Amino acid sequence: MPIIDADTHIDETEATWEYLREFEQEYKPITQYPSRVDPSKNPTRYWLVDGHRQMRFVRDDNNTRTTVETRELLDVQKRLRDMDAMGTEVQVLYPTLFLMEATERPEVSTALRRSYNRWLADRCAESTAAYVGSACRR
Amino acid sequence: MNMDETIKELQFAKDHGACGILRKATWKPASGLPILISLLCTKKPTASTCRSASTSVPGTPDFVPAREFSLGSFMRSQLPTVHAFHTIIRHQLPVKYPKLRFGIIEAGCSWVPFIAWELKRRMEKAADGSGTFSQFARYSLSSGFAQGQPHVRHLPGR
Repeated sequence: MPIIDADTHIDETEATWEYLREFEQEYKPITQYPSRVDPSKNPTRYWLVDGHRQMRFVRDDNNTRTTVETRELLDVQKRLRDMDAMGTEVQVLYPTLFLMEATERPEVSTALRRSYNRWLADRCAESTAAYVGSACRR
Repeated sequence: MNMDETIKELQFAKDHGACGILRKATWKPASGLPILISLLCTKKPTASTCRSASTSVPGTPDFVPAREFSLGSFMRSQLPTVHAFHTIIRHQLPVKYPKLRFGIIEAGCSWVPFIAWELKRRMEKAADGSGTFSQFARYSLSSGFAQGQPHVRHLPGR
């Protein structure tokens, strides 16, 4: 019986925003780090979106049993191998950043989601059978 | 984004393998939602009968600005889930779109007994005769699923 993982996520990466059009470049999220680092706490970083910080998670490979290559779809074949190891045939992919409303400006939100959709489509194209993406719409 | 552009974007997504729409709730009514759902329902199944819809259906307001409380609004209340489930049933979306499946995800299952009791009572009283408990049960069993998530400390290896 095929297993469908109906709720799995990807982490957005810099490449996610490479599909912004020329006139949308000003909306491109950038990664920021806290100015004062507390070594007793887990490392933190942020997406700066439209002047506001949104959490960009720093995940533990051992705890999540994933790697940055699989989480950010940098290595799709590796993610496919992980799926094979788990016996998962299909994953329905959800974003991470868009679970929280990153901006209240529709033009920014639309541009980011459009870029995300194209990035995900390109990543999914590397696997014709195993990925089912989740389109974002504001 | 206007509706024409939205449909174009969804057509792009559909052509590239998307099976659902992740939609955050807003205060504004989503007049185009039937169009969007219709678009999804006409999709040829890619690999399964799986259909996914966001729990954030129209009418589910997001009371806490996530921009200010980055993890608060999405994570801490299951009331929007109850509202979303009500909306799906009361608008008879499973009847209108029988191939569409609804997933209530990342919201636990503790609300299911409550909503079963509450919807039974509500639908038995419905003046339009739109619902009986058996009809509700048919909706739920044929079209919906709720995904439970164990508390993290109960996961193996934790």
